[in-house]
Amino acid sequence: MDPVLELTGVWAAYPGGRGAALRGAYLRLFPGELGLLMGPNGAGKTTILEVFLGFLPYRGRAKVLGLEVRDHVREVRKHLGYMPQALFFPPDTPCRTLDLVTMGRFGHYRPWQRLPRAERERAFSVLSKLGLGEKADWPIGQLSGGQQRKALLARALVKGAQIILLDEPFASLDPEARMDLAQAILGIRAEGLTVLAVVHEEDILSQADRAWFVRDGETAELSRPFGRLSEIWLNLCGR
Amino acid sequence: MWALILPSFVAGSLAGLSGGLLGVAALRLRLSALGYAMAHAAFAGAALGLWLGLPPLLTAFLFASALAALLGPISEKTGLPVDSILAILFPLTMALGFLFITLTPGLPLTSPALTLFWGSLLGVGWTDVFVLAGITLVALGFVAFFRREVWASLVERRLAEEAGIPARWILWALYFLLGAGVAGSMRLVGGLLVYVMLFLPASSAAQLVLDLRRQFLLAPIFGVVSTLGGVGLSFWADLPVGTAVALASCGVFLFCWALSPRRRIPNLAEQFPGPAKGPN
Repeated sequence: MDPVLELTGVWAAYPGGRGAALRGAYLRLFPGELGLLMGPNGAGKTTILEVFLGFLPYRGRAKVLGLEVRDHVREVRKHLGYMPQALFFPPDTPCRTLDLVTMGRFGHYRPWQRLPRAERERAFSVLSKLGLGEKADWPIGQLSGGQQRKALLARALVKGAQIILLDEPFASLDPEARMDLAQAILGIRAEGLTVLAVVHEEDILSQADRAWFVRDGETAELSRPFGRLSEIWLNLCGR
Repeated sequence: MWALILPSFVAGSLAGLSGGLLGVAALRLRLSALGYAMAHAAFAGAALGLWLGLPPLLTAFLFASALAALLGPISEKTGLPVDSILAILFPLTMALGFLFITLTPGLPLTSPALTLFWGSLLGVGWTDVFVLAGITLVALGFVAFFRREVWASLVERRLAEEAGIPARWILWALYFLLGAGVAGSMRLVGGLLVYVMLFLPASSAAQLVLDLRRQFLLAPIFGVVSTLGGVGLSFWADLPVGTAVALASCGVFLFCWALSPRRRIPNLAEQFPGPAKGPN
């Protein structure tokens, strides 16, 4: 079986940044798997997701469904659903929750094409599945942090992508919201989608198929069983 | 009489319409320095025209529009936010304007380059109306045709890009239209007050509706009402037109603010009945 996400010796740097954010990273994730990226802040975890999304120039090989990202950015993005890191909408954000979720479908239509009503119904059904049906008409900025994360997850799912990239989905959430979101993520994997998530928490570590520890722009794949995050951290950071 | 004031009223309607429409984008992108920077770019362009012996209003429009078109690429190349670039362009273009004026001997204070700063009601001719009509049509057409793309790019650029929308091109086009709109409206209200035409109608709309699409519908109406009200007030009270438009726009904003649902404070007595208790 071919990997759906693949990094081979990838180097990447942010414009104006002081040095490389990735230094020869390796990663292979297969269809239907849940992969986790862990490691200290600034280690390069988010950079890996941004390379897959074509947000950053890179050296080496980065492939999504066998397509080299730098040569097929638009095509690659069609296959990726994305929940960005620490994106919280302020209360005056001029957008309703259902509109934000429906945005995931915009790329499927040309400017002159009308968005069919079925697309909004589809967005509403995904929102409802994640328990946010009642908040569909609410301004996105007036939802709680956990609800906003779920709305972003719904947006990524509505897009119809085969691969979901989640950047710190549990950040700033209370334990109940984290449990809710963890269930939703495991549900996505159960439906056959591939998930790659950046995490700092143990919520879904035991359920993951693969995990990598990222440090100073390099990746180290962990062997199963993964054990506790604190032990991994102590072993790999040498403290 | 009507032959004299008709171009001002038509130009006022068009400037209000395009200013209100594009102002929603300027407000959302927090481009507060745009009005000032483009006003000074137009001033520098007009001064350049006078120095080179070219029509100053044409060079003003071209200079400001070209600078606005370069905002996006400069921001991307330098990694600086657009608002910071505008803050740098503001003194630079002012200095260039004064440099060109110094190089042009015997320039009177009533020259077109300087009247661009405070506007002139009677100076507006049908050529200005046609330029404004062109900008307004292009702006309306762009926002209407790319309504989904514009909306998504203004709500969250990265999410829009990930959804497959060319948000970068959409924003660059909006910067250009904003610059052209400001340059086109300056002859009427003047560079010092063109800011109000961009931000007050959009801010007024934002007081009443949160949804960006509704703001795009409401702000142009407020823009037209404010500008026509200002032009009328200018004739009636013999005020400078920029001042009158600013006063009318502030009046509309205060009215919307007074009606704004955002100001509603929940009635705690209804939600938490019973006598108030202090800490034990």
